[in-house]
Amino acid sequence: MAWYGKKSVDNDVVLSSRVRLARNVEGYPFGRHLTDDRARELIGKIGAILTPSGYEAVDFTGLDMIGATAYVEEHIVSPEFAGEKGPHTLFKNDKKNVYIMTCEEDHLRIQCITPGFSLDEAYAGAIEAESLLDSSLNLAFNEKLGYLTHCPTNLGTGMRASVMMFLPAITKFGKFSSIARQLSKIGLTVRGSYGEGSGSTGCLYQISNQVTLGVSEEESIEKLKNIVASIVDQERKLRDAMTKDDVWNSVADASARAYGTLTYARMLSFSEFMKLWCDVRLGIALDNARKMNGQPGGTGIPSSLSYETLDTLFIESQPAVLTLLSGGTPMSPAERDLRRADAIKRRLAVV
Amino acid sequence: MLCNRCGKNEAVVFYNENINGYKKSYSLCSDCARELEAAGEINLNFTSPFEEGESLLSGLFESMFGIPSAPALSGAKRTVKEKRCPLCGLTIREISEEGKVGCAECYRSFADELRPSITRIHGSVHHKGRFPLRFKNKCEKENRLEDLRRRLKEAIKNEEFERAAALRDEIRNLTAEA
Repeated sequence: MAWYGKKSVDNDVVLSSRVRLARNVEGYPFGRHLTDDRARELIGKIGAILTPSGYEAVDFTGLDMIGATAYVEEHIVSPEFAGEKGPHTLFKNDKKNVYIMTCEEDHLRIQCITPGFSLDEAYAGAIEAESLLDSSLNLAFNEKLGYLTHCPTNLGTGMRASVMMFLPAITKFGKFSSIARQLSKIGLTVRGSYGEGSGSTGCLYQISNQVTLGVSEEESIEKLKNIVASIVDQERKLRDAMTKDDVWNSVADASARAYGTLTYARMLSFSEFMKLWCDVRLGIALDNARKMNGQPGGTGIPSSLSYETLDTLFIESQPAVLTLLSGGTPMSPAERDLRRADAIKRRLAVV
Repeated sequence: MLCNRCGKNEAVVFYNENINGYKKSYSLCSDCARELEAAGEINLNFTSPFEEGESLLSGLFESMFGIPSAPALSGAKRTVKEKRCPLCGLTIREISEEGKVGCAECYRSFADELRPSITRIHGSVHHKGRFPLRFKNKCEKENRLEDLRRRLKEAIKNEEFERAAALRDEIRNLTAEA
């Protein structure tokens, strides 16, 4: 099992937390200035530290397009890493929460991904992996500029902490752009992930810190945590406002219809799936809120359908992961849509 | 459609200009277009600022790094021997064009040149936070000193002179250790 599909804190609003640290090794040039031979030498050095500690190496130079893209869809590697020409290897730990990209933009991109709102856990995981590497490598550093990175925007801590948030109520009430403006003023970045610009499906957002120099890791994470907590709060308040009978009826209707389509459709494109997924996830959240308020609920969706199952469906419905799970033979879009509908139907049948 | 100037040849150039509401519109054959352009009536070499991707980008880095990019430097200046990073061989101009350094050594070789742009990006040039094991002694001492100096300032502000004197001595001892 990967980082998704696990029970977690605040997962009605936060899907996952992530911390990544950019690190480089003294004496080796960066990016395209690093020759293939030197890159292989560096990857060998890193592997010699990580492999005995239980890390598995995935050599991306020998990976086909579908395999590499699947890692992108699982949010484990960057699209840049998947498309890299020179030697580049991913190392993953046996707990499947730490993923280390080597020879991406920086020599090392150490990331820890944890489910739900769990930034401290993600930070601790990333630091543990980094300490292991630090004990045997000369990490590029200077007292003034901190960790030295290929791009000056990552200097200092080299840390990017982020959370993936599900914000359908904030989106529906048109509050998102004002939140995004406020976030950028205090040095946080927000970007839509999936369904961006497609109306009601724009419900997933990634929020992260921007500044890395002059602010310590703990301060950065503390700040992000506070802001995320207040966004979670606002999202829940707006969801609460949606539990009023008239709004609730239309949300419950949309959610029940979406569930019906997911269970009975013979073909589903990923974008249609995402729209239905948002409707179902919101329906479950509002149903829970109504039950908490003592109002009658019921969407017709089995109460055993959890956020974890839904989030796993979201990852597994993406084109490359779906193809890989279906045996890895490339499929046409229409074949994929058939396969996707079938996989979803089967997954929902056992809920 | 025939050229609306000579009325003989097929029109191949369709020109619309609107500058602050002053509109010009022509359908011209290539000969007439050439003549009108020579006369300065129409401007066929106009490029929109949005089409000039490359120069816009290097302009951006120029403003980011405060360093003129290649086309902005005159020929005379370019023949001067430029400083190169001893490890990766990049010049500051190449770094500013790419927006990224070539290796860790670049930050030392071009510390002065890079400082303004780093300040612009982060608003600070003083790292705070984690450090590698081999920097432990150096960084811990620096952090301790910084903390003491901050507390000293506070003590003076609050007119707690006895505490301030103690803090000052501690700072002195710590700096003398080196």
